[in-house]
This record gives sequence, C-alpha cells and structure tokens, in this order.
Amino acid sequence: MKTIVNVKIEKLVFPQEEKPALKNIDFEIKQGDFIVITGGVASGKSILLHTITGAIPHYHEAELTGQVTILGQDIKDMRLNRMSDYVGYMMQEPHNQIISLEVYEDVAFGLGNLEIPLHQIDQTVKRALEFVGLTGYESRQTASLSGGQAQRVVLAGVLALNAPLLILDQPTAELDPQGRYELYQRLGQLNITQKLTIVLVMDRIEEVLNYANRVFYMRDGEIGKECSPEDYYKEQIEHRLGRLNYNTSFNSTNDMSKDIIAEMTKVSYEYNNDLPGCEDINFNIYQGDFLAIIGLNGSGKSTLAKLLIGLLKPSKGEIKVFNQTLTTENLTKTRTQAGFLFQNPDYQIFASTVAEEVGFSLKLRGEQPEVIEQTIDECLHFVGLLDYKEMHPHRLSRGQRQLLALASILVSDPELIIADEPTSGLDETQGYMIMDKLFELSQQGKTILLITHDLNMAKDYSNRLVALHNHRIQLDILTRDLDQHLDTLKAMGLNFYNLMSFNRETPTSTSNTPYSATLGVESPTEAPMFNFSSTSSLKEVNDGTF
Amino acid sequence: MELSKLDPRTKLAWYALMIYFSLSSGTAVQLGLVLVVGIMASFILTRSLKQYKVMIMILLLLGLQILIVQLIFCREGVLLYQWGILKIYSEALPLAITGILKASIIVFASMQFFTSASPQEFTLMLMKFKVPYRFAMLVGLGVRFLPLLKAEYVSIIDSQCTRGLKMETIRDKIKAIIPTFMPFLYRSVRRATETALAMELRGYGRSKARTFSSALAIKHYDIALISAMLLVIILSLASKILPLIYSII
Amino acid sequence: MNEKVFRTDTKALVGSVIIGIVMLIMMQVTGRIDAILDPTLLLLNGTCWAFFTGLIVLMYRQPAGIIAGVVEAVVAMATGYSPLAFFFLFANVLGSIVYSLIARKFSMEKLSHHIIAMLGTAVTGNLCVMVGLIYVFHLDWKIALLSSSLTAFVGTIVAGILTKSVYGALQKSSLL
Repeated sequence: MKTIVNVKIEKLVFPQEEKPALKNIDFEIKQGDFIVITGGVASGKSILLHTITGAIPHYHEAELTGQVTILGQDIKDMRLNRMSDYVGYMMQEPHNQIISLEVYEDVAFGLGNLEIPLHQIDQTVKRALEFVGLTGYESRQTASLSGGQAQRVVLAGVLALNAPLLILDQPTAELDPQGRYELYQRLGQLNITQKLTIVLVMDRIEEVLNYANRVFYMRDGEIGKECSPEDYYKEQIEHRLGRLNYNTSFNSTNDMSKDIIAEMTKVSYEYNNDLPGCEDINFNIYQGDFLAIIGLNGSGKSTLAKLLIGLLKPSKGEIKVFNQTLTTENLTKTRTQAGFLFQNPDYQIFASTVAEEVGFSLKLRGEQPEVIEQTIDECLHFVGLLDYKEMHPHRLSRGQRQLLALASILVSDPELIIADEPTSGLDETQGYMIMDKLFELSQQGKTILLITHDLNMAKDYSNRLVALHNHRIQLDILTRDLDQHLDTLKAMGLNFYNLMSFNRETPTSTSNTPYSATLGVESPTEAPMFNFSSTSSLKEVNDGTF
Repeated sequence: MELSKLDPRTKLAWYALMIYFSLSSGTAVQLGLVLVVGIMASFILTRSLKQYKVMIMILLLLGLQILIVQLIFCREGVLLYQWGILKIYSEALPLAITGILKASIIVFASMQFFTSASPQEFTLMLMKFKVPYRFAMLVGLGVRFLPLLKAEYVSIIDSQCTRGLKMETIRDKIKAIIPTFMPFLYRSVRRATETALAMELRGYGRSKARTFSSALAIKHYDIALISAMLLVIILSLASKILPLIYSII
Repeated sequence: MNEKVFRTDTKALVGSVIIGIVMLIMMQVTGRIDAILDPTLLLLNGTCWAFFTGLIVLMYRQPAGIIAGVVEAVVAMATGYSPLAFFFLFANVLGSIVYSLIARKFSMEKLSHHIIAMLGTAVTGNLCVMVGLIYVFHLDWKIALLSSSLTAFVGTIVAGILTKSVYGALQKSSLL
C-alpha cells in the first residue's frame, strides 16, 4: 500500500512553554488505513492531528523538530489553503466550521474556492448531502440546524472536496447513538470502497472499532502504544467492568433519605415565543440523590435545570429549594448552596490564572483572603489541577477546563450540584473523569442532579432516573428498577437496549463474538443513504477489516 | 418590480441620494418631504413597513433628548421665557425638529439600504467594486455569527449569575461587565481562530477568483435609475457651488 | 508593507468580523447603562468604543481594525439600534487608523504607550461624533466640544489601562 503520510516528530514545542507538546513520534499512514487515536487528558491528540493538517506550524506557531510529509511533500513548504488537495479536516464544534447562511452554500464553499464550475458544484453538493443523509436540506438556514445536523453539514463540506485523507476530531460528539452508528458506518464504507484513509480522535469507543485497523494510545505527547482494535477493545471491557461493579454497588446500597432538598410543584414554563419549556412538573430531589434527568434534545431538561436555579421564573407552580420558595431576594443565598455546572466551561472563564478563576465566587462573597487561598488549593487538588494554579485557564485542554469549572463551583461548598450535560464535547475518558469526580462528591454526601442525553452515564452513575418527554415528566424511577421500564423508555426514544451494556454480556464471550453483537447495535432498518457505489453490509465490513 | 430585484448598486445610489438630501436640506418641510418619499419607496416596493417598527421608539427617545438639549442650550432667536438661569429661545423648537428629521432620514435610509439585499448580493456588489473575495465574503460571515454570538453572551451571563454574580442594580451591572465580557472575548477569539482554520483548509484565498452560486447582472432600468440619481446629486451640488464660484469671481 | 500595521491572513479577517460583533454587543450593553446614568455624555459607551478600537488593532492590526469598525457601525444601522451609527462609521474607521499609526511607533509594552495611542483614537473619534452633534442635531458647538472632550478624556485613561491589561491577558492565554 502507498504511504500517504509520514510523521517523524522529534519534538514539538509551543512558544512560551518548556515541555514539548509532542515528542518521539514516528509513524506512517498507508492508503486505506483507518486509525483511531485515543488517550488521556492533554495527551496531545488534537495537536497530533494539527501537525498532519498543516495547522501546525502554518497556523499555530510552534517549533517543530522533525518532518511531516504528505504524499512525499514536506508540509512546512505547503500553503494551508492548498492542503485541501490532500486533507479534509473536521474539527469539534461544528457551528464554528459553518461559514454560510444556507446549507447548500456551505457545502459548496470549498468547491467554490477551487473555482470548480457551477454545474459540477451542484452535482457534488447533491451527492455529499445525500451521503450524510441530508438530502432536501439545501436551502435550510444553517442557524436552524441541530448540533448533529450541523456536524453532518460540515462533514459533507469536507467530503465534497474529495481529499485522499480524512482527519476527524471527535466527529460524533454532538450525535445521539443512532446518529453515531450511522456516521461511523458511512465512514467505514468510504474507507473500504473508496480506499479513503481516515485518522480520527475517538470520542466513544463503541462503534468505530468495527472499522478501524490501528489504534494509537497517546500519553504525555507520545504514542504510548499502538495496538489492534481487538486488543484495545478487550482491555477497555475489563476496565469498564471494574468501573461498573464499583458503581452498581453504589446504586443498590444507597438508601434514600427523606430530606427534601428541592421540590417543584405543578411547575410550567413557556418561552416568549409560546414554545413550551416545561409543563406540569412535579418532583422532589432528596438529600444524597444522584438523580439523572434524561430525555431527547428539546424535551425540556435544561429548562427544568434553569428553573431550579432561578435563571428562569416559572409561569405557573411553585419551586422550593432548601425549603424556601425561590424569590429574587433569596436567589443569591440559594445560589451559594447550589452549584451549576454548564455544558461549556468557557462560558465562565474570565480570569488570567486558574487560581483567580476558582476564587471568583468566594471573592464575590467577600471571604477572607486566607480562607480563599486555602479553599482554592483544596478544590484544585480535588480536581487534580493544583499544578496548573498560576497558568492561564485557556492554556488547559477542554477536559481540564471542565474540571476547572467544577472546581470553581466546589469552592462554595454547595449542597446541591446541577450538572447540565457536563461531558458534552469531551471524549469518553475525559467524560468519565468528570463523572467520577461527581460520583466522589456524591459519596461525600452532596446531592447531584445530572442532565444528560448519555444513557450510559445516566445508568452507570445515578440512583434515580427521571425521564422527560415532550416537556413533561414521564417516568421517575430508581435506577436499579430500570429493567422493568426499558420498553416505556424506548417508546420515548430513549433506547437503553442499544447501549454497550456489559452486565448483559458475559465478558468471556466477547473475544469470539463479532463486535456488532457484543456492542448490542442493531443494523439500521432503513436503506443506506449514501451514493458512493457500495452496499456492503456491516458484517462484510468486519470481515474485510479483520 | 420588487425592491429585492433591483441591483444592489441601484440601492446604494438611492442610499447616497437620501443621505445627501438629509445633510443638504435646511428646512423642516424639505426634510419632511425627503423622509416621506423614502418611506413611500419602501412601502411601494415591499408592501410592508414592519421592520422599521424598532426604530420608532429609539427615535422618539432621541427626539426628546434633542428637544431638551435645545431648550436648555439654544441661544438663537429671541428670548421667549426665562426662569433663573434657564432661558428658552425661539429657535429651539425649529432646530430640534430639523435635527430630529435629519436623524430620522439617516436612520431610516441606513436601515432601508442594509436590509434591502441578501449578504451574498452585498458580497457580489463589493466584488464589482474590485474588493477581493476574501474581504467581500466577510459580509455573510457577519450575518451568520451575529445571532450565535448574541445567544452566547446570554449564556455567559446566566453562567456567571449561577456563580453568584448579581445583575440587579446599575452598580451590579457595571461591576458585571468585566466578568461577562472576558469569557465572551476568549470564546470569540477561539471561535474566530477555528472558523478561519476551517475556511483556510477548505481552500479560502487559494486563488484570486472563486465560483459563486449566483451573479449580479445590471439591467437597463438599473442603469437608468442610477444615472438619474447621480444627475440629481450633481445638479443639486452645482446649483449650490456655482453661485459661490460666481460670487468669488 | 509594514508588519506592525498590516495583516491580511484569514485569522485576522475572520477575527475582525467576530470581534466587530462582540464590540457591537458590548456597545449595546454599555449604552443601556449610560441611558440611565448619563444619557448625554455616554461615558461608558465612549470608553467601550475606544477600548475596542484599540484592542482590535492590537489583536489583528489593519485592515481588521477598519473592518471591525465597519461591521459594528453597519450592523448598528441595519438593526436600527443607534441613530448615531452613521457617524460611528467615520469615527470607527478614522479612530482605528489613528491608533495604528501611533501604535506603530511604540513597542506597546508600557502603559504610557497605550495611553498615548488611545489619546489619538479618542480625540479623533469624539471629533467625528462632535461634528455629528453640531451638524445633525444643531447642538451648540461649545456644548458639543465640552461633552466630547470629557468623553475623550475619560475614554483615554480608562480604555488605555483596559487595552493594556486585556491584551496582556489574551497574550497569556495563547489564543491569539
């Protein structure tokens, strides 16, 4: 097979930093490779991708000792806007990569830059949209797209350029399980039928391993080891089983105390444009609960959380937090007892050092400097960021910034922690790291309210599940009784059957069963949406890869 | 013939004409006439004036401000009323009215022009003026990111409020500027960096030309309209300047 | 071409548009506070304007400064938010150019450099607004001069300090 990329990096150092971000990296990417990169927090995964796309050193300044060549040419000598001949690159946060107001224009953006004639652009755009399953979306406003749709529009725009190498940074971060399954299946098809070479940083280990042929595990800027997807998978299963046992014991032993922390009585909320937010919500949060609120996008999960913390005022009903009805007067006091962890940590980072950022709430409350200092250290130690105390928060990785946001809530020592999709935008390892911290807090007696569309996490960590559907609470159960309600949940679009669920599979069977069976994924019933010639099934893809 | 079917360059000439009149007309009657003609043009071409609703309140407030300032500070005309140091002169009201009318024409005409065409049309127009496409295409980018950034700022305020930031009194609000602005700035810089990288890796600025999905074709009536409007401006200017020149000679 | 004045890479161009919108939103925020505190002087608004005009030039140089200024003014006009936006257009463009011209001569490491550059910008910008006040609103020139000078003075000091510290923080963040 032809070598597409040759990466030899002795070291890569960013300006004003001493520690190299990457070091001792030496590998080749052959045509048809499907490489999955994984690794811990700040291990250099995205930075490695940047060196292959040419973003480093052309776009982000860094001192590179070594050489990266693509189809025999040194990337250093190539202009970034010519890289589209070789590489297609899809980053995280799809909305930052959409340039145009309409879907058609956006997919056509790159083609227009290449001065391709209009009739040809029309055809390519049509085919690309068909491939990502968005036929008929041509004139849709990009602003109205959901996260998942936006991600697919970006992918279509990248694929339309038809580069031989496709690089993806957590491509399914914004997709639900079904969307994730479909996307990876399409990528697998392209890999087999078009010999498209794919390198991606993985977000969830599940489906993608069906299609990959190499797994890189990165640690501290190095490729710690390279292994086959099979080996990596086995290792992960063992790791996860351990985690699961640990949490299941939590699920069953935690006896619910009857102290009510918050209660909502007949609460409804309507947005200004008459869109319903929540309707007739009745529920209590008990002390020590690890309560997971699940539901599809737009089911009212976030509205509920915002009502609870007083960011929204209910149009009907009553909300009591810590035995007090929420009013403008006691809001500040309530907020010292309740912490809110947002989806995006960047919404609150404003200080120039990690320590200052964490101490903000305390400073607002006029605490003594010594107390502030000590609390900051304790909280940073808890989330493992004490070493970064004097660093600028934006120099941390995304996962670390989420931990920082958690630390800046913990300084107030809140009774109740509300976490709204705290793992979105993070890969699996980082996501579990955040969840483990929340779990630890729960063990210390804090009450946790988790809002998530990640059913795995909801199931693994919570002791109680509340499912929202069409703005109403449809189900409020103990997590240990989940099995009795699987069909009800499935009817709401919350399919727990489809999860990578280890407690239903015996670990020993995994080595022989095809992955698709172990993972519990069902083949989609609808016809494949892509137009790129092949119709090989999932099974065949498996056989081909292994 | 709809307004949106006119060439953006025709609309630009119209805008220039309106601004010219607002600055050169001196009497309230002239200014009023210009404003009415402008509003009529919008109404005839789009059959709706709904989008201008937002400016009414703003203009009323501004009008009130101008009026108060003129009543207090105007020293032209004859003294009408005196109470302590407060003196009201006869010219205050006419000056206030022409001021409000001038401002109204400028506000109205600007809004009319900048909302009259799609971002792509403005981009194409700029390219007709020899602006390179890497610059001209920024119009669309601005329209695309405005709502995203607005929503983001609201989320940032929410986020800081849950950490104990107060937003009730004016004092609170002034104190809240930095803790809400800094995350906004950081986020926006991050966003700009990523967007620009995504654009560049899709070949932005690779060569001087680019394929667009539509093109501007100036029509005969556009040329006629533009010529007529330019003629009006030139004649009007000439009628003002020539007498001056003669008087010097 | 002088590297301290010009920069036309995509990052600077996209950045200018996005920061231009950020500027617009912050102008709106400060404008609302001013409307209650000092509706005629607009001290906060003027400071915010001067701060952004300087910051954008420091971040992305030219023509980004001009583009951001145009974006801010045009969107303010299109949305009917500010009747004076027409004059902001000139103030934004001229103020930005003046800042570039002054900043080019200094290392911009000392506070005094920031204050001097800001002085040029604030005076230019407020001059534009003053012309507007006199010509459109028929304000007495002495009053217009007094109000503009006061805004320029406050803007120079406060915005000068702010640009230095915010630009420093941005550099430290390595986001630029």
